[in-house]
Amino acid sequence: MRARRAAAALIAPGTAYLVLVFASIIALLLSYSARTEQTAALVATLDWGTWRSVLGDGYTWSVVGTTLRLGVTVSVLTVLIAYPLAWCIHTVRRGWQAAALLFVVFSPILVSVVVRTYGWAMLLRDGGPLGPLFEGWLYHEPGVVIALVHVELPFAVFPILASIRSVPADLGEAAADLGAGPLRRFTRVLLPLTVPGVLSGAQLVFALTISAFATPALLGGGRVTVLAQTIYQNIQLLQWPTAAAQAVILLVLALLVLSVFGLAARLVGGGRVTR
Amino acid sequence: MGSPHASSVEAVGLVRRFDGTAALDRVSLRIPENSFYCLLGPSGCGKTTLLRLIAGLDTPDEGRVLIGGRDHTATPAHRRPTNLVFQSGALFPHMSVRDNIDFGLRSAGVRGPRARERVEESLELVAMGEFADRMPQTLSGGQRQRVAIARSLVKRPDVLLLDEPLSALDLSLQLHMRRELKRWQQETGTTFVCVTHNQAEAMEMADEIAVMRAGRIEQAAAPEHLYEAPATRFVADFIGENNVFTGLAADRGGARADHVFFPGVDADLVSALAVRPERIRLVDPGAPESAGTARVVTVGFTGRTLRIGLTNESGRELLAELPAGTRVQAGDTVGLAFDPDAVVRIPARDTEAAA
Repeated sequence: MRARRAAAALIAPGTAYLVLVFASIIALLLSYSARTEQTAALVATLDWGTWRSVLGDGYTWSVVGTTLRLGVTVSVLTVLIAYPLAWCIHTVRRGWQAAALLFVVFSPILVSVVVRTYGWAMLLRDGGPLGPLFEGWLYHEPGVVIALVHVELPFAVFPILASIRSVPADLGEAAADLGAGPLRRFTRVLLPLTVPGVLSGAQLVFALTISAFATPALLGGGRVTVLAQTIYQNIQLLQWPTAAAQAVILLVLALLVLSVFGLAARLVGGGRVTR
Repeated sequence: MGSPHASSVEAVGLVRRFDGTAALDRVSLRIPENSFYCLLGPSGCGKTTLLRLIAGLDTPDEGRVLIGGRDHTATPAHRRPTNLVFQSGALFPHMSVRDNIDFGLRSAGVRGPRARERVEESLELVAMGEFADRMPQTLSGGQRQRVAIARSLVKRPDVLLLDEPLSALDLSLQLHMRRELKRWQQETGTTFVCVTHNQAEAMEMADEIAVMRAGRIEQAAAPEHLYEAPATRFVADFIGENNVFTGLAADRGGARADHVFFPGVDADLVSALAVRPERIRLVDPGAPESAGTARVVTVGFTGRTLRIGLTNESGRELLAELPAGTRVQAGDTVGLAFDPDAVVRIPARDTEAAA
């Protein structure tokens, strides 16, 4: 009973914060999206006009399409790059080498988004060091993808590294001892046992990508429009109800995709190492 | 399979260093085909390192590994004719018992009814047939170990390597599994190489034992030979219980240590003497055959024998084992007697004896 009360006391600040900030913002968004005129009133009469025009607009769906495509591309690419990287960090013998690798993986987070993004712009522009190699990437979707993969790599590396570390080393050795070559050891033993890490990495990266604003705005050159940008634009135009409706769409998309990931994680849950 | 020596294992001058210290220091050893061989020693003696070198999970810094007479030093683990049973079992947690056992066959390209037959066969051998569809997490420690052994045996290896296979099991299960392992070795005609720190386990199962210490082999011989004629003081102490005497001084036609007299022993030629507890007789303190006197401190009943704890005038503690029913009680002062052939002489070349 006392332990229960102590636990309640410990989660109280976090819960209070989330309820106040997160829940009230969601409530406000829902309330704003259900009106056509911006009013100062917290509660107004329900009016589905905004929803009708937002959902009936082909532009909304093309923006949703771009957002989802960006989310899927970036999470797949990030996980593909993060997995071998995490494996390398895991197998590096010396502590300082692993620390150096982790620092490199972490470095994009340490740099301001504006600096990082303009850095990419300088690299990719005509006449830039990577210009000839990635011709036409800047101010198009591939440029946005490459920059997002860069900054979101650590969010995939960490869950994957943690799940690789949770696989006992003797399982790989046992597989080798039973005659499995490197490829078979990876596909039949390591990969199935690290699927939970891959899924949670992809989940994080996806959620971050579909809500990313600065990178698509600065590197998309106005050609890559995602939901976060249209929300921003509508707020600039004082179209609060439209912005709110789009924010709700973004939230629903995130929840939908995250629950798909959750379901997938549950299905492969049998592969989790329980020792 | 193949040549008559297909399943012999030979280590030639193996050296393995970890961070500059030698875990194995020029170890040479010959394991006969179709035998049950134990690598015995305290933790850190290099026995598991040696096993991993034979399995190919580690590479030696120097020396060679020969299996069936062929040099396999450079062969990676997945191409060696050996299989290792890990201490933990190392069962794949995401596969059923059946899939675990099938894994090695699939890796070798054995599929279909032939594979199924072999899986069933090895499940039957370890009496785990009814658990084929269970997941490893739902099995007990002993059952997991059986599956791990079946998973290795299904590959029909020339040599089965076992790393402390019984250490995770409770004692009564250990005693049972010792006989099972011995039986499986005989039924499959495979060479078993088993690492253990438990000398009773090694004595009971092995045809031959290599006693290891600090990266070297102290003595490799049949259990009876190790017991009756230990070559070093370490082996005398480690194999079974023993009363080891050091610091021998020449004394009137024999040698004396800790107030016990050993007639006919030349103190210059031996570094230590050992007398097994069951070879000590208790006699009247004044009897001519008495080699020294001692006081009975404890008397313990084990079933067939009495274990007698003794202390003599130099404060030396001794252990004697007498048939149950011997009339003796704590506080008695007794004479110690033993036949000349009960005294094992450990040669002076054992430089370690001084340590």
